[in-house]
Amino acid sequence: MSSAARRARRAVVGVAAVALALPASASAHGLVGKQDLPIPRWLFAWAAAVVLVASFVGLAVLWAQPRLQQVVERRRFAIPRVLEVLAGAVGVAFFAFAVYAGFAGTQAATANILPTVIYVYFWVAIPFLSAAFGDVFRAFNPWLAIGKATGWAARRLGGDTAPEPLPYPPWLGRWPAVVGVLVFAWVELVYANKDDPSQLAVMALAYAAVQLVGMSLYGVQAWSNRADAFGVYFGFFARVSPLHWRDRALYTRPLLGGCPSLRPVAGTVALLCTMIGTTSFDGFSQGTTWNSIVPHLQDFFASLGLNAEHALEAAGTVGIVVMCCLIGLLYRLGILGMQTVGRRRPAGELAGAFAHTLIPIALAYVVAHYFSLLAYQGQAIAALASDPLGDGSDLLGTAATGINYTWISATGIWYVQVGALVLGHVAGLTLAHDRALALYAKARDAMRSQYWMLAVMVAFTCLGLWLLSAAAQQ
Amino acid sequence: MTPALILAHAGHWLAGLLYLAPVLIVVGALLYQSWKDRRRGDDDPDDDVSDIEVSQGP
Repeated sequence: MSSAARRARRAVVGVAAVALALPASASAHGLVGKQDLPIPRWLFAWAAAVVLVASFVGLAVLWAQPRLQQVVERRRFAIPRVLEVLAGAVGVAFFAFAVYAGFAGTQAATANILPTVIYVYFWVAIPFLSAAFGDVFRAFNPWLAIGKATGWAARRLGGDTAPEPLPYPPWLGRWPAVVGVLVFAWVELVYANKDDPSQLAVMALAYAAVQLVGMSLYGVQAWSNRADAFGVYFGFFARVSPLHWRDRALYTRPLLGGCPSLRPVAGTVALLCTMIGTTSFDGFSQGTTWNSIVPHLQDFFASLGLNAEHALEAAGTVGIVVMCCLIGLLYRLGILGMQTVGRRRPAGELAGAFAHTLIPIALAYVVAHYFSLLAYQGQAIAALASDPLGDGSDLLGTAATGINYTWISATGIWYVQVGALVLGHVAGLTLAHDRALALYAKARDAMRSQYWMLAVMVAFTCLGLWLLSAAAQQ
Repeated sequence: MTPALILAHAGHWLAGLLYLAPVLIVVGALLYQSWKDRRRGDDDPDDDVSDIEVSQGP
């Protein structure tokens, strides 16, 4: 290698190292401050791509055997049944109180506890907790607790006369979860009355009712494992965690160890693409590109007879669906590229085999897009818990607690976002490499198949950073 | 979207291309490598059956 080439390579590696080693500071879901960055934002995308290529080479050289396909889980301790019942009861009580607050409290979105509980704690904080501590939502899942309690009561009262649940249709797979996540994201990002506490309470009750009907038809576990959108959504993130709660015991496993065991039933790839797509649309909808397109879309729908509000919702609906399709297309392109290596496997088989590699990417997108929301708006719980209905009460003496916007700077949040995106994609690349080693007999084919996954990961990383950058510039 | 709209927001699109460049470079390198592999003729589809079973849970 010439000295000029060596210097160029050192410069690229130096940029990557500086970009990733600098300490963390905030842009977020609608909460963006002024960032003080040492290099242009686009250079972070270049640095992230270099890190991914370096990781790819490192995996090819150092990771010669599949290590994550069959992980050993170690049982740590058992949990008494009473705790399981207690956790379920806490979940039901909390759900009932949140719904009550939505109906009985003030209808001012920032003063009622329900919108913050749903959009910040339920939708954002639980994925963080799941990735760290395993599937904690399952323990507190209110509709699952009600379903289990009802099933237990039916068995006690009805004995053997209780009817058997219907077999869960294989073609249905995780499609109900896809619909649930898409509808929730639509409400959060597109629906004009998304902050209306009483409407949120109605939607929460409707969702719980659908879950109870589904569980009564197909069985509590079968429905919950596949069709409960939030249960499945949080459960996916829990697969990243080194903690695994099952059979009323805690097991430990390697980080990411739960991902390869994901069974790619119908709708699994669509669900993961929807998870990434909806989060991407959240970032995209805050950027200049979308805001330059949306007036034209709104005019188009207004010309069809919709009023301004519904025309805007229709434009947002188009945006969110197109973004999910775009993410699906990107993944499909990677799969089609993989198909050219070795024996031609069906694209559907490959798409399912590598679906679990999208889990850390979905998590990275959630962290990158919602970290600042949790960091800032999450503090509002101190005041809201003391005055949950917004009626002027001060139950805990913390109703006047404000939000500290200075504990982390906008620049710090940017570094957290970049770090999350890079780590998430390196994790995805690692999972894909490990699966390829198990699928392909020849290590050379395994590596060649992963050229395409590398391209997909670089594309997802650059897309994520472009979206964050666009939102930060607004 | 009209051509006029695209031109009016050219600044946004051009800045976006800086984020697209790493993807294009990686894809270009991959295509070149694939072409080289094909020229070498080292595909052997009959020898591509893994004996490792991939376990999948719920």
